[in-house]
Amino acid sequence: MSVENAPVVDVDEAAIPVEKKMYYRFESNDKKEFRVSELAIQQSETLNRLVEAMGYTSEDVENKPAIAIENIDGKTLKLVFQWCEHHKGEAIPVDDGSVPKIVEIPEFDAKLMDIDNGLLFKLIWAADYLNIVQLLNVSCKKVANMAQGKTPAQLRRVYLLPSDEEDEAAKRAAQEAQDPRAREVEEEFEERKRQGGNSFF
Amino acid sequence: MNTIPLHQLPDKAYIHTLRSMQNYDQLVYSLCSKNTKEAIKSLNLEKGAINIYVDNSIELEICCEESFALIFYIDYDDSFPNNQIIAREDIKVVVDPYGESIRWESNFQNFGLKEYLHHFCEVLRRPKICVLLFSGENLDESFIEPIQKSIEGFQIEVLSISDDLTPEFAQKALESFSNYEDLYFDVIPCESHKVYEMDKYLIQNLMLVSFPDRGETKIDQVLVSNSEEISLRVPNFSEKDLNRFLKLWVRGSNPRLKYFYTVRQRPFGRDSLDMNLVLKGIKSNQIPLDSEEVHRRTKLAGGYRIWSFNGTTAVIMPRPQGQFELIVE
Repeated sequence: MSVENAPVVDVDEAAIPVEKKMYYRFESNDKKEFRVSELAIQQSETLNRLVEAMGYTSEDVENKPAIAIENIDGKTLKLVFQWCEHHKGEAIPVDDGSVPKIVEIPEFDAKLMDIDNGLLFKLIWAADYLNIVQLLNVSCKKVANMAQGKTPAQLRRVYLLPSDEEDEAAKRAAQEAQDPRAREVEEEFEERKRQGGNSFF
Repeated sequence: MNTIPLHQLPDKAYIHTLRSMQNYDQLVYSLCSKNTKEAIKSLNLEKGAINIYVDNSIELEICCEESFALIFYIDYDDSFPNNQIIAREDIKVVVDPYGESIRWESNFQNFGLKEYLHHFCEVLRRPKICVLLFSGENLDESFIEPIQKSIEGFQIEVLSISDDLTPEFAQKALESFSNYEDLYFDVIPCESHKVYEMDKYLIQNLMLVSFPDRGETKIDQVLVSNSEEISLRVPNFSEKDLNRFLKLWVRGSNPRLKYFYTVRQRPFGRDSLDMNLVLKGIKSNQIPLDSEEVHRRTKLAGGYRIWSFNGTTAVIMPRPQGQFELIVE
């Protein structure tokens, strides 16, 4: 197990009340460990609820195993916690399903997201899973900006959009997967057609 | 190319991304596939509007949130079967706010005015054309039928015919499009000695009618109008004409009227109308000059309040240069 003992971002200790000065340990699915301040964790609704439910003391945090985050890898989790540390203490937007009309991407976030699109994709999944509202806002804005001034043909390429035919095929496949009997009926129908039958029934 | 599989994002992030796009990009995205169209439709974009400007080419303007987002320039090719307006060649699209024009690849073959119109009306959930404007002195009457076919079934909010068109064009356009709420015409759609023929357009129950005066318009033509708003440009009504109009309004004529406005009333050698003549024989009260009363965003101070037989009140606002304004309360 590789351990990253230092906090992801330098902690401004003066800004943190003494009783809140506690670092939780998290482990990614590729066994990378991170120490994250309690205040930074508040940016993630999912993690905040989790640590509240666990009720860890300072000793527990040190002595118990790191909290496993099974579906996020170390590279992505590092970005997530860097973001949370940088924005700790900031007001958290209410997650009412709405999207702010104007989303400005701060300089720090822009630099943090100056990554390949594969990692950006994982970062968005992580922000969604961990319910980090503002990180989701800025990362989605970055993806939205990729559309700027593009033609439909260019958008299809940038966003790897399926064609109508591909969407139809995917829909059929999903329906068949849900209802194996439907596939059997269709195969039977095709077979009868091959045999020259005019009517299925 | 820098790519990201947008459809494979979590649902919430997918919708977030679509909502974060500029209006132009949202509308273009809606054209990518049936699924993208449905996705943008589900966003319930606000304040969308669709305008058609017919000049020497056809301009389809799609607006979102009070600024234009997309303008399609579609050339009419009369060689195409059934008079359909089809963009067979590349489509020139003006992009805002990026301030540049781009030409789309021609992968929208057989997708013309009608198809774009239906597409964006559905996406914006707005089954109306906001403005249909005809202008341009070279505009041929043969444009009317294909446009009519393309927009068949759509309600038009404003039909506008500019003054550089012929009376024959105006007449044909007015007869071809009947499904409108507001009518602006800058050209009288009939010969000058047959101004009475205009009455058939004026008696419609419209929201607004705005028409010019070529010197032959009579106050009777205002009296036959059933519109809620009437706007006349350069009318030559005398104070006696206006007095007659007001007396008939008091007795119940123009029952739907909410607003009557004449622009650039000829001043008969004076700066303003003689309100004693305009209101002769009509019971009226002048609203004090320091009054704070407001109706239809107009301050009523100094206006003259009159009453119709059924108790409805209206205020006449004397305006400079002989303009006349009647606001029904």
